[in-house]
Amino acid sequence: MPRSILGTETRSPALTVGARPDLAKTQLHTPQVAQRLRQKRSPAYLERMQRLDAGTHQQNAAALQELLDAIAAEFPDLGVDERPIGVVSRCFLGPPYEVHICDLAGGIVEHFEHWRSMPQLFERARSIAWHGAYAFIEIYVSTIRAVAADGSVSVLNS
Amino acid sequence: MSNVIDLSSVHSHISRLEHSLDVIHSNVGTVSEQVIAVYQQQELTKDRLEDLHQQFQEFVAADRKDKQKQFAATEIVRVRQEIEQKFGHHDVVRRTTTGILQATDLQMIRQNTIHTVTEQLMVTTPNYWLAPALVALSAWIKDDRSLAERGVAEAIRRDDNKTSLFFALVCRRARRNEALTRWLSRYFQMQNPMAIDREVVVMLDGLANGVFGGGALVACSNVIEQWLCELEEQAGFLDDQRKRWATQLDVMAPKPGDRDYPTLCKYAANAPALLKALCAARRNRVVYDFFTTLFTGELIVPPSIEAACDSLLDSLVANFDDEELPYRREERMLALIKEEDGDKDAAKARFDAEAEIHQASTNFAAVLTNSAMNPEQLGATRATQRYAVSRSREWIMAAHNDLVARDRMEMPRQAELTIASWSGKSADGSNEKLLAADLRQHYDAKIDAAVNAVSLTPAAWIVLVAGILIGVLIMTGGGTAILVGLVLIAAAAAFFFWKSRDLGRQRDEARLELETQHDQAAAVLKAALAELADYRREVAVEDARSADVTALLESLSSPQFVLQRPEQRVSIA
Repeated sequence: MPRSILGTETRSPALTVGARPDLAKTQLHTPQVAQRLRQKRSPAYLERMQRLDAGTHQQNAAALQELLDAIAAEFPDLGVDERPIGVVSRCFLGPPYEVHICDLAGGIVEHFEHWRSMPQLFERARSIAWHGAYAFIEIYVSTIRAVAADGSVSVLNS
Repeated sequence: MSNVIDLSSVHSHISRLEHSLDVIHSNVGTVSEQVIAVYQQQELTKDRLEDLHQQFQEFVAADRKDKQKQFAATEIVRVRQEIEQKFGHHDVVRRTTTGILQATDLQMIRQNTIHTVTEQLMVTTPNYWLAPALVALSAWIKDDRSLAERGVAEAIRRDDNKTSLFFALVCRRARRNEALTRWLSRYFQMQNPMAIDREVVVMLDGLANGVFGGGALVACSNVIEQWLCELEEQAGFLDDQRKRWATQLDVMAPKPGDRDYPTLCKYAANAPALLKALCAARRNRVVYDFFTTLFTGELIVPPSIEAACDSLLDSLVANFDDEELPYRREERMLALIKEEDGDKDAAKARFDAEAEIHQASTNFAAVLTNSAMNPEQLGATRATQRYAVSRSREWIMAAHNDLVARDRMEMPRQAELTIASWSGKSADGSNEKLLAADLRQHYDAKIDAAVNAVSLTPAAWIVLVAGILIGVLIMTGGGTAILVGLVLIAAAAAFFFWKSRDLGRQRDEARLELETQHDQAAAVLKAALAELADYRREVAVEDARSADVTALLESLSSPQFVLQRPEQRVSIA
């Protein structure tokens, strides 16, 4: 179970991803989307994502909304369905916590102990998130993208 | 005194009974020792059988590999003989090409001789593109325009690409730069970067080695950039190119050594995954060394433009004949099986990685990749290799990063140890105390169970009860029978007592046996965890080398810089 001091999972019904939530997909072809998602991430985006560990997003819906806005700003040319559906990164809260996830669709930030499984889509990124070589792992439906501290992206098909 | 009972016979019976009991005791002790010995023998036999089974499996695998290697060695000779039989006559034409050019340089051979030789080759090698090209060349030397034009037309009809490149190189050799540019333009106009013939490597060689200077160099560079731009516009090209590079880099992973963490490998259930991850991490060093070596040292530059062109002409006429491709494919596969010591799977993986080399036409980006990674298969020079790597470095970096991420994801987080009947997990060997305590607990439970299992046998109870019952029954007869009955009861009681006292010894033996097993398991656990700690250290060090590869690739010179090396400018006039 998540540590009580951080509160339990938070679900925010009013959260929106991006300025145009009605736009699910862009006119880009799949290879172009893949190419776009391989580009280096911006320092601002990296900084926002790395703040997840502070835990503020769990209790503060506004902070989570800022995070979603950061994602929308990072991928303005991509539709909602083409952006990450979540993020997994190594948790520095200390044992027994190992990794945390940010489920962007449900607006949930949750920390996981080493014995507790994450949702299926996120669990496949657990090992590489825990490795610590990457700042965070972006989760997509059919791939995961490991983002290094310098913003470079490695793609893993899963 | 007649009432005095004579007990001497009873004493004698009791003595005999005691003696018999001693004998039985001794025999039971012997049997017990024999049972333990049989058990130990059985365990030893089981271990030996397992060893034998493993050795047999290893022998079968080694034998299979050995046979594959021998078969490949024999077959490769057959394939080469077949190539020689079917295409050996081409070789004469090939050698004649540079022979004519060099003889003309030296002005040692009469023009008529050259003409006669080329005419003979034209007759003896039907359908081969080079024969009419040589007739055209000899006619050119002889200043017979009509024959030269007919020869060129026939050579172009037979193989336009190769003929255009051939005459481009001949013109460059003769320093006729305008004609060179026209032949090259003709060659470029025919090319489709999506399906380009392999001899384009000769053009790359000419470019990278400085053979094509001035306008030709600029034209070649521009065409390459244009081809790559066209390719990049194709859907999925960049992904394909990254995958192509990833496949090439992946096969560079070294094989595990026989001495790699033997205890860990023997007792970890997930040893194959651990070894795979280790080899993947070690690949970083191999990749780093490969690129470092490639870009270290001076290039060996041909002493003159004639020598450089002759080298390219040799490559053009020798390496790219499509009719030979099926045989070359077979020859390469057999050579790889030999190189991999009969490991067909490893050979197949390497062959698949370079499969595009053995196709008549392929994507231009694939030619770049193969020129960089398998230059000897394409006859590409080291300069071309450097150019291809520097032109591909963005793709290489992406492929390398993807591979490293994949390997990190597949790295087992725990070693799953199984030692005899105990199993446990460890990430890096740091939980040795916990695992040792768990192992102790496991064996304590086993010892308890084994000790508790040692109890009086039903036979002992039957002897006791039967002895008492029969003794009482005999005693009812009165007189001497009372004594006999008492003796019988005493004997039964003595047997029961002896059996009870023997339980302690049996329990001690069971405890000792399991303690020995525990000590052996504890030693194995300690060794496996020590190896696991070393394994993690090595993997961390090798994994960190991935950053060195990225830094090296980032620091590579641009393709333009590679083309304008100082030695190139100095040596190729």
